[in-house]
Amino acid sequence: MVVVADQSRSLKHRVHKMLHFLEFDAMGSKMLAAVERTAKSPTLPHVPDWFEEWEQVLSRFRYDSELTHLNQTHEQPVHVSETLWEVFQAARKATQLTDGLVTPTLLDAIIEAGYDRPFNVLPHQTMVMPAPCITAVQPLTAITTDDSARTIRLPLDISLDFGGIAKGWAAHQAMQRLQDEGPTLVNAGGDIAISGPRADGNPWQIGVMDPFHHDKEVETLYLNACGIATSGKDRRRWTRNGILQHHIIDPFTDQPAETDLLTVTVIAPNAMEAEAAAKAIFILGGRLGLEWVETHPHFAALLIFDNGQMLYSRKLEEYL
Amino acid sequence: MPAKPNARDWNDVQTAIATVAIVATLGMWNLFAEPAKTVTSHVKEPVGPPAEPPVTLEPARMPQVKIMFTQTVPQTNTAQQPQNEKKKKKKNNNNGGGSGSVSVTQTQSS
Repeated sequence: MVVVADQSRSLKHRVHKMLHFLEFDAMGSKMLAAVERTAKSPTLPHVPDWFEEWEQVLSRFRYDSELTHLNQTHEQPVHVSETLWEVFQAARKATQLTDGLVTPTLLDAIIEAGYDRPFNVLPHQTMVMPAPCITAVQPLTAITTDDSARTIRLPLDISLDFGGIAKGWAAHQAMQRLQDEGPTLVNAGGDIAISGPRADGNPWQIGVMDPFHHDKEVETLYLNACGIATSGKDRRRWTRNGILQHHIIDPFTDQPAETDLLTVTVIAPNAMEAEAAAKAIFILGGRLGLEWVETHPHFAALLIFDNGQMLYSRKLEEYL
Repeated sequence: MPAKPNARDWNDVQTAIATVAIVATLGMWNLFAEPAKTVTSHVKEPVGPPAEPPVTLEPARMPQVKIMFTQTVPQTNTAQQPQNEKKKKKKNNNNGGGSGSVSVTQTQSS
């Protein structure tokens, strides 16, 4: 009897905060939101609605989205919603951070490359189209804005596509809304925002997907408050006239970036910066990319090359 | 002394005979035509199974279920994840490492 009583007491002491999580599809990707707390999270069920609302603003594939409306209105200021304004500002910061390597003004170039519809309906192998005409990518500075009126004025030859920055922003935004309920993690198709350590004080364990075998992980990272994102050509790629294409455009060639890297994973203070840095390193390639990340002390990176070689930035050691 | 109106009397007799003839013709016509009409009307009556009672059409009732035009509604799941052991420092510089771990989630190319 005494043993039973002891066991029940020890069980009682082992009641931990539970991990409540929600998985759903949005923005063409798998999403996951998780909150660690004792009781069920009252806010968690609303997360898909938030993403639907954001997608209706930010998607270039929806004919009635706010972004589509903006892209169809040139040479006149357009008053935009707070969401679109915030993501535009995040994209602007990403452009500054990466010296123009990551910019939202590449929509025409990515459509020229063949990514003109949602990826799940894109013909991956049989695409036969005329050779692309080179589009001159315009700098973000050609767009005029009015902070007080919250307006954006696009020149005639510029259309916007926020791409991964929108996912990073959405992950960060959802994490901020949930974090009052407990330790929070939001994964928006690979762009992850983490509020802080877990309830027991330990870091979250995040796997880095093996780009050669998507059912495996090449590394496990131990993370507290941060953002983490991966960019690469192992997914969202297609063949166009026999040439492999992918969705990361080099703004200096207006073509899918030619790089020796397969994927780049970056840990940064937030998910938007992680997304921008991962994309910039990917475009720069292995040698220049590693140099770039070493000059940014807040970033850590894991580079995986086409041949399978893996390179770790110095700071990444802190997360292994 | 007035003359007798003989001619007019003969005319009256002719008129009376014609009237009687017409009335008799019409009467005979009706007498023999009526039964034929009755038979015809009997033939036209529908012949078949006994008529079913009339059906009263009522508005169809909608099933008492919520019709969703989107994908399955996401459900919140709860997991008791094993508490992390003390953070382990590990060296793993080749492919295949990390598999079998208890990662909460993965980062992948977006």
